[in-house]
Amino acid sequence: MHDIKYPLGASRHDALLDIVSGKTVRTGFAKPVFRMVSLVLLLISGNLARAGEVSVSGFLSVVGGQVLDGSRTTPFNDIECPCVITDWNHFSAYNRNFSLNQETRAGVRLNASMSESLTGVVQVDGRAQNNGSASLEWAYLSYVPRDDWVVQVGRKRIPIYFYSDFMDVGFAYPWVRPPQELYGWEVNNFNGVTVVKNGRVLDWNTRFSMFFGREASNDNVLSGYFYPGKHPDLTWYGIRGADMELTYEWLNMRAVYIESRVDLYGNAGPIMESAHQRIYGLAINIDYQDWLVRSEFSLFDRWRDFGYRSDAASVSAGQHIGKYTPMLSYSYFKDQNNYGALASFNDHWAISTRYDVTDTSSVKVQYDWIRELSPPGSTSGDARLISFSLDQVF
Amino acid sequence: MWKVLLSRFKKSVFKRFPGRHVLPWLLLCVMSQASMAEVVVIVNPENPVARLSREQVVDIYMGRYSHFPDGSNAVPFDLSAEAATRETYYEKLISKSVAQVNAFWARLRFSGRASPPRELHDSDAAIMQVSRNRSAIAYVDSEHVNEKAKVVLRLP
Repeated sequence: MHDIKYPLGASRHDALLDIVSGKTVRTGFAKPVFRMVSLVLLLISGNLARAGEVSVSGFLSVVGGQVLDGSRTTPFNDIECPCVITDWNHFSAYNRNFSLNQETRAGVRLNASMSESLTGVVQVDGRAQNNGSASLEWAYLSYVPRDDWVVQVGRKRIPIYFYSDFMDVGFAYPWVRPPQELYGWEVNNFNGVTVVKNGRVLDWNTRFSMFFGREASNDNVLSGYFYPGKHPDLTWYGIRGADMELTYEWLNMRAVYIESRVDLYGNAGPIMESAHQRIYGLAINIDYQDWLVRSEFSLFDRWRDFGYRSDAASVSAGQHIGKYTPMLSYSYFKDQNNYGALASFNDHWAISTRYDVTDTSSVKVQYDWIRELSPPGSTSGDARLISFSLDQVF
Repeated sequence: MWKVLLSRFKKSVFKRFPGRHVLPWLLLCVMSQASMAEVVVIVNPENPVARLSREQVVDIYMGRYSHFPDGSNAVPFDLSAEAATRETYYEKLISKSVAQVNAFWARLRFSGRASPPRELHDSDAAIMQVSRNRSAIAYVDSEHVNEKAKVVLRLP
């Protein structure tokens, strides 16, 4: 990964403004987001004279896939089946037609240090699925009040899962994608404040964070799947959460707890108001010599107001063999409800291999075998999927 | 080609040189040492730290804990032009390829947690940085090290 470091000049600054405020940004963002980007940009530009440099980094993942066969013959939420949904948040899905448009994406991140302790960060992602139109994923100011403390204000990922922060950056993980049983919920990002404390206890490195904020998503993609035809507007507010990460040489563990209220308004009126949700997560990762193990558990509790809860888990093991990293993975998703709807339950085996082409690029191939364990029709069904990716960071 | 060069070398120098039977062996020793040279981790000579363990260096280089044992800040540097030294360094330090190290850093970088070590061009730049910067920590091929830098860990 090589930072491209520019001495800050007018032209660079204009380019930055173009990316963020120009035509490439998809409309429909809440006003606070624009205000926040403006603030970050204003602070960046206001400190141009003092700022030494802006570093630019980015990533690209070209992903293609095709379902080989599967059990479902009727469409699943407008998707022709047999099919596999690989990203619930963006509703990326594959069927018998080979597609490069479902998960292919690129992103650019600008990191401007304004002083020793203040940094502005903006990241814009584009997805082939949306015809390449860009979406603002990150825009925050990061302030280091003292050693080992960080305060971040602005737009960030909600750290629901271990890979939430960097699930778009394919180069950072061994599979074509993190297991879809866990990854992907209604919203990915939020506007708010995060406070981080890094430390060391005995031989363990520790990272503790607390975060507060809200997120509004109009015509939410995943809610539209649960409430077809209603084009629901979704808001998570009063988001409060904390996570803790412990690292000891070859062992890394992370636990997270998040709670918030949820409002859901359909085009015919409210669907849910002030509904309570709790999210729990635990990840354990091992890197011992050439061996690696990745595991994660997640529980979404919406029992009280929505009447359902879901849990999902994943375990993968693999080995670095020269430039190859073969992995074997198992994961499941299961939900329950108290209103008599068909519960869904599926599991999923995957075999994948990563090959490091250069120090900053890799290619991966993955074979997925998904089984419907709940009654037929309650999920997208049994399916086998083959997919590949080309991942690059710069 | 080597034979030709060597014979020319012999003709021009060796015959006038008294220790000519020992010299080829000496040369061989120097060359083999060069190819197996160790990588050393260096800091500013005024840094009170005398020695760092491999684990402490791993913590600093993998963005886990950026402090020296006395609590002062540690700022790590990478080598960009000397790809072989970099490769050897990470292989000996944590048994990882540079691609694996970069994949690890992609997480920290794109989650806004930490920036990877800044890159310096070569060993000269690394020694220069360390000699000027009290917080700096870098690595060089042991044959490049001089009195402007203090060695705190050897990775043979």
